[in-house]
Amino acid sequence: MRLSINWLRQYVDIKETPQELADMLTMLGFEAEVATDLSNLKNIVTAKVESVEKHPNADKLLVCQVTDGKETVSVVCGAPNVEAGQKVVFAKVGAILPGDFEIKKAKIRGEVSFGMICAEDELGISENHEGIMVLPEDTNIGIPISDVLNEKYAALELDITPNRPDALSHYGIAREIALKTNRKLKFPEVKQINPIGTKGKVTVNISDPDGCPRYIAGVIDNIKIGESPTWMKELLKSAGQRCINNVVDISNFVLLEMGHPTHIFDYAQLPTDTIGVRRATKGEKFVTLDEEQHTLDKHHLLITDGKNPIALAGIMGGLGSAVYDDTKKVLIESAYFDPITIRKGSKSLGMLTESSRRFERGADPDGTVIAFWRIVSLLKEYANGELVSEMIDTYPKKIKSPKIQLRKSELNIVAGCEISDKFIAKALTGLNIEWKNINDSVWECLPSSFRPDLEGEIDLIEEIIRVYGYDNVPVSTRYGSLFNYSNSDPKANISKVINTLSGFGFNQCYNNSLLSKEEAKLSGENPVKTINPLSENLSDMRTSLLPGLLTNIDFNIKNGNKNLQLFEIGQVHSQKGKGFKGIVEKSKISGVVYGLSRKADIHNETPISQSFFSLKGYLNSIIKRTLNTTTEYIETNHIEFEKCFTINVSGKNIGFMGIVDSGLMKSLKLDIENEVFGFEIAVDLLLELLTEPILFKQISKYPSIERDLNFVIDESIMAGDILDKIQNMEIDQLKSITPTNIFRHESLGENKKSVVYNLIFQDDAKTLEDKDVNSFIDEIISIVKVKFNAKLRV
Amino acid sequence: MSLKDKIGAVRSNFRTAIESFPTDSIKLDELRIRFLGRKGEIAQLFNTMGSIPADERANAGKLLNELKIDLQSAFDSAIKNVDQNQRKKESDSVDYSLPGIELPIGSIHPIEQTLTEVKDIFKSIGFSIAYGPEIDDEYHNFEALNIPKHHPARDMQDTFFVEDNAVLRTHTSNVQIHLMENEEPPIRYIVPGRVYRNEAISYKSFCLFHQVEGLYVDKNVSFSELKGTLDYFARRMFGEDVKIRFRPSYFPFTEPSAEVDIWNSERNQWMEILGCGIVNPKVFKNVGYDSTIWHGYAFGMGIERIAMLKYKIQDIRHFYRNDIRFLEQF
Repeated sequence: MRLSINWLRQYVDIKETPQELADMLTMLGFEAEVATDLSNLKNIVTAKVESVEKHPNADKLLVCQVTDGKETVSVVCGAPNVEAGQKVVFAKVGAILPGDFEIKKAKIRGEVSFGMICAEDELGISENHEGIMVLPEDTNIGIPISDVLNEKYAALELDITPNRPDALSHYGIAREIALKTNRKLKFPEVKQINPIGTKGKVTVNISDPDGCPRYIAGVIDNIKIGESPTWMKELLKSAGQRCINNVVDISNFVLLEMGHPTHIFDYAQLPTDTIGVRRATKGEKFVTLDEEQHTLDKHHLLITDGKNPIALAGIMGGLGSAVYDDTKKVLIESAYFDPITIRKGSKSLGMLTESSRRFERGADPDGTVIAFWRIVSLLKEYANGELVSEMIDTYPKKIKSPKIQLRKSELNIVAGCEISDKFIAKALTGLNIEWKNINDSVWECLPSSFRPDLEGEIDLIEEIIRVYGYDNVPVSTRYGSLFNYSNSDPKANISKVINTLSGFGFNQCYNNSLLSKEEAKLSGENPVKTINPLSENLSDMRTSLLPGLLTNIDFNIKNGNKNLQLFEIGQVHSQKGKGFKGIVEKSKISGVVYGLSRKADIHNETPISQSFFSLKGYLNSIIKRTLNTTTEYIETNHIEFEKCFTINVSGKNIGFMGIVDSGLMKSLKLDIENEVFGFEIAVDLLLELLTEPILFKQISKYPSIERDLNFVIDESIMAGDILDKIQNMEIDQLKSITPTNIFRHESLGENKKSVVYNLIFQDDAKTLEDKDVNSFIDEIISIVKVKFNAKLRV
Repeated sequence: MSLKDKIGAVRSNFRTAIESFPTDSIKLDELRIRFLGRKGEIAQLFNTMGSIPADERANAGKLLNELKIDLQSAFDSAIKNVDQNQRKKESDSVDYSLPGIELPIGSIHPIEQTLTEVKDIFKSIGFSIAYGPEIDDEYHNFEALNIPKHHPARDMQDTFFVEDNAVLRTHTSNVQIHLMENEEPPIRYIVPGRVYRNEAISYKSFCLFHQVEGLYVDKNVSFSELKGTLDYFARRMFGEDVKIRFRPSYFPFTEPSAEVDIWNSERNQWMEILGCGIVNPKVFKNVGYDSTIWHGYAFGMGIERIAMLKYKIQDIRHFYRNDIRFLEQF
């Protein structure tokens, strides 16, 4: 909301600069920024246009002689409304306009221009750029602009939280300033006026009292539509409003003055003297003031002429009954509508208006009366209007403020400090809360009708602390109440994995959880879809982390980084069953390697490519490092991988690894030439393993014995199968077995290869002797010979 | 010549030879073969043992062995010198200005690092850590937190909906409700996690971000203590001389509510870093806590915003682009 400081002055003294006022309001809970402050504008003065001539080289430009009383300069101007004799705002050479726009001497189409005649928008006064700003004729020239205009146009921009409908007006904010500064609050006297006759009859018929608890109407005749008085136009302008005519401006003025929305109908357009309030029927059509046609349903509350709609209640009036230049007789509406009804209606039509904004937050049911009389008296004074009916107040559903007990003890607990009785009394009074002491420590309070947010004790406590000042509440700490927090972070151990991965040269990524439906479906899982997505590209929740990481590879290749090791930890979702209950959320850790694991350099001419085996090596090392155990891989199928193995640790399958399916890259429309090797691990399973304590294993003090075995086997037999077989013999003394060489040569026979295994034996209890090892070796040889049809190569 | 003389002659020949070419490894090897080889001079002397009278044989063997050991050790030390000289020569020819053999540089994402830092600060003052679902029902994300269905406060958080009126949580406050539904007070938790907002993506907003929320419920928990806790947090996070202010605000689930700003001296303005307040008794009622006994405070902060302040990052989208040139800096 744009708040005019000049307008505020109608109700309370303002001694602060715009910035000081913004700070004060911010600390009262109304976030404020200075919107217009002309006080710092230098070299901008009032001036007079002496003469206007056509620019010799441009049809639409004019050359003006402008004087500030001391010197007369030539200025090129393009404004259509510039005329000789006008008093204007003149920015001299060297002036800096809002937005850091510096005025310089310039040559425009061959004519030198020494400054600029300003429009309102250039000064930050309004959005208006229709022409230059023309000052009153009696303005003295050569005076700094801040002296002339700042008083009128300085303004703040306020962000009012939804709980404070009462603050959506100048008077509402003035009330807060008066309370904070102990200054006097003035409100223009609102008088009841006796009607001249009763020829303006109105019957109000509310068929939905829940939607419209109160409706006040009255008829005014002999209206003369014209311009509003200057003071009102200036106030409206300073609050960012456009002026239309006296009747419309008066309604807007009262809205911004006291926050109560009213509506004015052209009485002549109403076929009967009945005003109805009812719900729309399904499919009912209505054209609002902005010439939009709406199709309505039972969520929309309507004001009718007894039959047909004439306004969308609390949102916008109808085109058919709007006030025009020839309007003579009007009907004033000052009503209170139910917040939820207005909100539903305005939401479903996507129409947020100044009026709906106030009603949906909760208008003042008693403010209806004051607003009515304020409108009536302003119409009388500035539009020649005569009240020709009684104030017809239909109030089928009384709204009462709740009685609230405020305990001093509770206030002190919540604040954490003691606030004096005197201050509490002052704050309650200043907030227009009726109160009396039930006893020394309990107040009985009745909030005013304009504060629908004050429903219970805590709301009053908040108000008192707010007015007391959050800054004045002391800072205290009380960590003495520490209690058991043994399971301080159930996911803490995952940091070991993060540290290890980053230590091995992996970069951690954070990707968007929202993908397109096609991308989210690539993992074969059914994604959870959002009903109101930002765009089709961001409609579904990711079911896998791989699409994100692959996109990161593509992005980085395009930016010159072709060798990548990436990982991400995050949540994935899938729709396993129907509805909300069918959503399954899982935590995953995924990684990819791409390009070279080691580039060629001056020390090594041969680069080393990432491969299935480099990934396998990383996984082995990560698991050895974090879990102090070994990893097994069993071939399987997985939609995201061309070649896939399960990752098994301590007999549990915790994830998958392998060569990422190139089809995935194609579906994601990525330009990734080479193979990507990737893995995904379930975080919950990893965490289970990570919580198991690591137990120290004794280091054998006896020497080890090393042997090599060289088997000739069929090409079809996998080196790993023999290795597994030997390990499964469970020879305690066999500490490690590693394949060290594969050799293929015609001398071995057709489709044969030889594989060398290095075996290390060690006993924990004694020094092994050759004969002990020989017996293990013999046993191994005989088993491998039989199982794999192997021959020993000597 | 007696055996003794022969031994003396071998010794002196060996010494002369080894001193004439102390660093020539080829010559040294010839020397080893000449004296210590299988058919070398010492071996030849051993071969003469048969011709020595039996009673002198033991003494002769001893002398010969001594000779063998002496020569071997002289030879070994000569070879060692050769190796050392060789290495020294090689090392003199290395160009030490060449670059090192580089390893890939891994990194931990700045959001992760900031999250860890925030968690560590609150752990140090007795907060446990809890996690909860990213997709939740409206009740836990809104209603239980005193944000009724048709309330303007809903506009404060643009929401993504999924089937059944469930939502992508707009804050981690949904976990507050789960925690209080399942545990009796006193409780003290922070809840880190990913939250979603249906907002257009720009340099200052993204459709998701990370939040850490805190909740402390106990007897006599006050606004003053909330100030103390967050003041401590701000000092740990941004430095001892951080300037901090609490200004009144509105959140449906806390009352009184405040926004916390820290002063940014570079931009010469206050920067909002978190929201907080005293837990609204209506929230306690929804989870069955007795608000005549228990009070609580809650706070919530956006990790991206804190990381942007900390690392001076201007555009929030950097966090999700995963450009190596960005990631490697952290």
